[in-house]
Formats: sequence, C-alpha cells, structure tokens
Amino acid sequence: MRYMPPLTDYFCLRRKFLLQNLISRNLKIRYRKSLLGMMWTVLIPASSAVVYYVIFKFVMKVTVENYLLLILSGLIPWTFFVSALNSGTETIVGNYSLLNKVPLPPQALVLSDIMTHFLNFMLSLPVIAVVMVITETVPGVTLLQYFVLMGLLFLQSYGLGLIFGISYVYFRDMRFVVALILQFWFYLTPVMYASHMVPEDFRFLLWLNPVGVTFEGFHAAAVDHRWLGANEWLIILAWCLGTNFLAYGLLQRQKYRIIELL
Amino acid sequence: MKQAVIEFKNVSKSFQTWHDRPESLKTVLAQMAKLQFSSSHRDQVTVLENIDLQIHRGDFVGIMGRNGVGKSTLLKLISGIYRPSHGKILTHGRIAPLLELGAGFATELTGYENIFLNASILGFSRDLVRRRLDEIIEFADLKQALDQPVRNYSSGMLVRLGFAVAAHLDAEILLFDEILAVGDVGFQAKCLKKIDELHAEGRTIILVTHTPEQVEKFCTRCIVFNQRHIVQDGSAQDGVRVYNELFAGA
Repeated sequence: MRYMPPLTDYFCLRRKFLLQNLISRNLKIRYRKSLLGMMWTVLIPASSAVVYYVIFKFVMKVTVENYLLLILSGLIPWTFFVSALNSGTETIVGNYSLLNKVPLPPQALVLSDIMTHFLNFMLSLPVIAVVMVITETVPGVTLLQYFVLMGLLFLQSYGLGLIFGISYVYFRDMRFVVALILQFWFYLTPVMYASHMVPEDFRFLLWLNPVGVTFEGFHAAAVDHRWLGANEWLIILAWCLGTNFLAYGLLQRQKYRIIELL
Repeated sequence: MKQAVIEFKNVSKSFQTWHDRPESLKTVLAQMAKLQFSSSHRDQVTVLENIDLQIHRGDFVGIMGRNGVGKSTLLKLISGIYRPSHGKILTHGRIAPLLELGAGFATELTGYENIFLNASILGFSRDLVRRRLDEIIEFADLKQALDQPVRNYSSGMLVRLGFAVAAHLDAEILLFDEILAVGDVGFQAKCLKKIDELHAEGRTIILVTHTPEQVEKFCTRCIVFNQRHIVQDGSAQDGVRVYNELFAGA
C-alpha cells in the first residue's frame, strides 16, 4: 500500500466517489420502498419526544420551562448518535464478503454509514424549528453553537463507531455490549433532563461522559441561550480528539488483520 | 527487457488458525479467570512460501494449481487485500482486482446505478465511468433490464454487468479469479475475446483457471503452483503439460 497522510487516510479523502456512492446506496435502500420516505427520520424522534413530554410534564409533573424544546433538542442528536454507533459497530463484519474480495479501506464503510445518518440528522432539524415556532421561542445567536456541536458529535461518533466496529470482528457479542452501553448512556447523558437538574455533587460525572458536555451544549444552544465556556469546549474537544486518536491507532494496527480474521 | 509491473521478492504468506479462537467476551473472561492467556493453541498455516516472481507489462499469465494451493491468496496479495507475512511486493500501475464480478452490487439498486457503485468500489473515478458508460452498457447488453433492480437478475446477467464494468475501466493490470465459470458459453467466449483484446492493447492479465484449453489458447505464460511453491513457470504449453502430469493423472 502506498503511503497516505494520516488525515487523508482516516477520512478517506481520496475516495470521495466511493463515499458518495455508498451514501447514495444507503439512502436509496432505505427510502426507495417506503411510503413516507424521509419523513420517518423526523417522525421517530418527534413522536418519542412527544411521549416523553407527556409523561414527564403531565404525569411526573416536571417543572422545567420549555420542556418540549429541551427534550427535542437533545433527542434528535441522540437518535443520530445511537444509529451511528449501531451501524458503525456492524458494518465491517456485515460487509465481510466485500472486504475479502476488494481492497477497500474498512473505515470507508463506517464513515459512509455514519455520514448517511448525519444527513438524516440534518433533515430532522426543521422539527426543532417547528417546535420553536409553536412554543414561541425566539432563537438566539447562541444557536450557532448547535451546528458546531453537531460537527463534533459526528467526529465523536466516527471514532467510537470505528472502535466498536473493529472490536466486533474479535468479539461477536460486541453488538449486545453496545446495546447495553447505549441503554445506560441515554440516562447518564443530559438528553431528557437539563444538566443543572443533576445534584451539584454528581455534576462532575458529566465530564467523564464522552458526550456529556456535548449534550449539555445542545441544550445550552437551543434552550438556555447560553454560550459554552472555554473549559466546556476544551472537554468536548479533548474527548473528540482522544477517541479519534485511539480509533486511528487501532485502525492502523488492525486493518489487515481484521480482513484475515473475518 | 520488459518492465516488471508486479514483483514478488521472497514472499511468504501464512495465516493463523486458532483452534479455539475466543469468539466471545465470555470465553476471554473465562480464560482470564483461569489465567490461561495463551491456552488457545494457534497454528500457522503457510499458504505461499518464499515466492520470487516477476510479471512483466503485457504478460498474459495463467495461474494453475489444485484448490487451496494459494492461487486466490496470490491475487489478494497482488491487489493489496492481504499483506505478506514476509518479503516484499511491488506493483506498478492501476489494478482491477476482479476476484469476484460485481463486487458490492446492491440488490435493491438498478443495474445502471450499480455500474457507478461497483466502479467506485473498485477504485475508479467518476469521470472515467462517465466516459466509458456507453461502452459498458453496450457490452453488458442488458437492454431494458438495466433499469430493473439487480435483485431480479439471473446470475448470468449479474456476471455480464460485472464483467462489463471491470473490462472498461482502463486498469493496467487485471486479475481474474475463476470468474468465467459462470455465464453461458456464448458470453464466456465474448469475455475471453474481450480479455484478449485488453491484452492486445498492452495490458497485463492474470487469470486463475482450471481450464487448460483457456491457458493454451490465450496465455503467453503459465505458472503452476503446488504445495506453497511455484513448480513450473514458462510457456503455456509447458505449464499445461506439467499441470496435467501433476494433477490429471492422479
């Protein structure tokens, strides 16, 4: 194999045509035979947001201002995160016959899957706008942070997806482990609740959560109109870079071995 | 002296086979608990050993040998799917690794859409596909079926489309792995004729096959593998003779 600069290799920058074709394949397979098509991408998180809203607002009587917007601005990125990690985990093993017949960078499969989910993520953003209109929330300039955080969450998902995907080649119960992790992770991350609702003594746990501060940021940007502090950005960035360095290292060590093991 | 486009320098390839490879976390944890980190005995299976080989521009090489003798492994090493365990492999020029025709075809997409998908998977650019699109479509000869999902294709049609894409993408080196076993006789002949044309244009062809007639008719060189080594490397006639002596008589 010829030498490629690390970033070019990691993000498959020389294989844009490949990525584009894989993404368009994913989208076509997903939507070609469905009646509502892209609408499902919006409907699923939106309907679960409504369910959570009804339960927490009217049954459990949570008294948080603008609770529907809070749930939704967290749940939409969370839906992306979950789908990205799930398909990132499975795609290398799932494409075993392809990787065994064609010299293909395995990370291209993970990247294109996650990019497909990211497109869906972007397409479901209008729901947040709709809820803002309904709840008469005026978006502030702080909303710009939302888009930066989306980018960082994408990177974080790519790194984690690769790590899980490579591990899945070695341990076939990785799929269940990921499902289990995600179940707890959902409650350990401020998706349905605001981070300030967590007792002060436990708030440090947020920093130990790879996406904890990121999701706090989504709320800050969309609901609280708050600018994130430098330390918060630093933590998000540190997790992001750390995960991706680990993923890159793992990929470099394992990219030939996994194909022989598959 | 013709230029070497593929060069193997003392290449060996072995695989680890694990007798009880820990497939699940449970097994790993159980082993760790019993402090048996290295209990699963690994065996090395050597498929190719100390191979020195030069293939020159414009060669049409037939690769022969019994099943499991490392012919596919050789092609995977050339195309870069595998890395050699020892030694060095140098290649010059773009390779079309056709270990399987229609690699990555998506059953729900149409034949037309799969042309682009397949070409991108094989590592070719959009411009190239656009330029060669008409020729690909003409060669595949699928008519209206081209707009049908390939789920509805017969295996012969799939091979036709896959071969059409592969043959028109201007690769300098083409690797074929027994792919012509499928498809009807007429199409097989058409494919071999196309391969022969590509060879006449100066491309390097490597064809793994079990059919001596194909080697005699098309190849300029034949390499026979047996038990991890090259046992014969020379003219097509000599190769077929050695192959027959070794395997057909037994």
